[in-house]
Parts: sequence; C-alpha cells; structure tokens
Amino acid sequence: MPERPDVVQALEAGLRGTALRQALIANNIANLNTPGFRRNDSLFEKVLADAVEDGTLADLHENEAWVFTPGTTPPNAQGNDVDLDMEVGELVKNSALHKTYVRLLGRMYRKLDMAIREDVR
Amino acid sequence: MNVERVGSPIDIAVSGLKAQSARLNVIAANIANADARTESGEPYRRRDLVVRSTGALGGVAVARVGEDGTGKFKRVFLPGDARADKDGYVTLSNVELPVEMMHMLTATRAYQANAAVLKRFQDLTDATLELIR
Amino acid sequence: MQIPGLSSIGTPPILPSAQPGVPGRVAAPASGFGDTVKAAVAGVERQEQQAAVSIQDLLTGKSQDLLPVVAEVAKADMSFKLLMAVRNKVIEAYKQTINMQI
Repeated sequence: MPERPDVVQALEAGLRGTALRQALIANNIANLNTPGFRRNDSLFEKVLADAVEDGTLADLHENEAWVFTPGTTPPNAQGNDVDLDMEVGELVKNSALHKTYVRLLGRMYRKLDMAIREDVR
Repeated sequence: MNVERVGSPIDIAVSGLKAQSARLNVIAANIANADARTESGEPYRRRDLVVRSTGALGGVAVARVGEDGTGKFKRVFLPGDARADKDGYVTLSNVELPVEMMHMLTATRAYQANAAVLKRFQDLTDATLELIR
Repeated sequence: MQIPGLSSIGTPPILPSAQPGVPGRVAAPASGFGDTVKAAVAGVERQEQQAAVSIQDLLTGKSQDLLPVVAEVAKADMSFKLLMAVRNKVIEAYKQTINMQI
C-alpha cells in the first residue's frame, strides 16, 4: 500500500509556505498606513516546483528565501500599496489552502500508520 | 471550487469590496466639499464613480471618477454673504446631503453584501474539505 | 461519480466453489482469485497515484483548483477501504471454511 514519502515532504513544505504567507499577510495589514511600505508575499509554490524538478525536495527547509515583494499593486500617494480588501481576499485563499494541506497531511500520516501497524480495520 | 483562478468567487467579491470602498471615498469627498469652491471660484460639482464589469463571469473595476454634470447649481439670494456675486446671489454646489447619505447607505450595504459572499464561499470551501475528513 | 478502484475489483468469489460430488472438499480457484486481487490492488494504486499528482499540482501552483484534489483523494480512500473490506471478508470466509466440521 502506498506510503509516498515524497508527497508527505512536499505537503510539509506546503504547510510551511502557507503558514509563512499567513504571517506576511498579517504584516501587510499591520502596515496598512506605513509610508513607503510595499506588500510582501511568499513564492513557495515556485520554489517547490523547482525543488520537485531538481529532486532537492529533502533540502527544502529555509523559509527566508521564500519572501518576496511582488510590486504588482500600485502604490498610493504615500508610497504604500497595501489594499485591505485585497489582503482579506488573499487571507481567505491562503486559509483554504492551509486547511487543505493539513487535512491531506493528516490522511498521509494515517496511511503510514496503517501500513506500519498492518491494521486496516 | 477555484481558490484563485480569474473569475473565482473570491476575486469577484474582493473586486466588489474595492469598488464599494472607492465609492464610499467619493461620497465622503462630496460631503466634505459640499461648501467648497474650486480654484476658478466655481462651486464644487459632486463626483460619482463609474464602475465597469470585467467580463461575463468577472468582477468589477473602477473605470473613472466623473463629475456629475446633471444638476444645475442652485442660486440663492444672500446679499451679505462673502461668496455673493454683484447681484447678491450665491451659487451653491450641487451636493445635496440627503442624497449623499442615501448613496452612502447603498454603498455600505453593497460592501456588506460582497463581504457576505466572501464569507459564504469560505463556508463552502470548508464543507468541501469535509470530504477528506 | 466514477470510482475506478471499484469497477476494477469486479466480483471476486467470496466463497470458494466446492467441487460437486466431493462433500467437504474445497477447491479454491487459486489463480483466478489471485489475479483478481492483483487487479484490484493495481486499481487502488493507480487511484492513489492520480491523487498524488493532483496534490502535487496544487502544491506547485500548477493548479489552484481544490475540487479535483478533494475528489481524487476521496476516490482513492473509497477504493482502498473497499479493497480492505473485501479482503477481510475473504479471510473471514476462508477461516470459516477451514474450521468446517467434516
């Protein structure tokens, strides 16, 4: 029966990514009125895609390299580009992703557990 | 159930929220400028938001902020007023507070409706995720 | 909803067929049943693989659609559970058959 450690690893990395993004969104919202502040996001999806291609999934544990400033949203007169409505939307999306990964990872752990114990009742 | 693709319920609701916020800004500006004059001495002409749809299953986008040119300025006879012209008439702005308050109410309700859509979509996603425990 | 694992299992014989005229003698159609089990396991494995691919697509941002992932995973779990239920039934039946008083 399938255990698939690579999927487990990828899911764990995904969870770290969504957790990081949650923190970044919270920081964006906190800096709603900070002059010159540009919103930040996490590009862990791209990093993960590259790691899967290179086969370096096991080495994926640095979170610092995952933070980036998209710069796609236009700044206002104070140089701040944070829009509360957009951040709320990103928060909803990210929460849904995070919850999905949690459920999927729980399921993978349970399957591993079943395989180890050979109890499938 | 799309989390992010163009046209997903989240993006549509967020665009609606943005449009209604922008509308509230314009209404606030109208109310604040109800007694103001422009540089040329003309009374303030109330502004309105033009919102356009971004496609059949898309959201909305703010096209532009336009001036409301429909109402004529009211001329009131106030001879002692600082703004009065040589005949003693004062030209008032076409901002009417009751009208602006009504617009503010509709914009607020629309904002709340969009927020409710967002919340409902969240509930739908949660229900979908129940399928994998 | 198509569940590939289900259809590939087919109808495995729960009770081995007894040979006529030989009371108590059990003739289990070994090769036929073994193939059926192999096919069932392969079907479940395929479904699990499909689920893993859809999970990976979500993780790498190739797709942002949650529904395919949830559907594939639910299908994989259903197939697996069904296979296990059939296996348990077969083992139980076999035990009962072994313990039959001759």
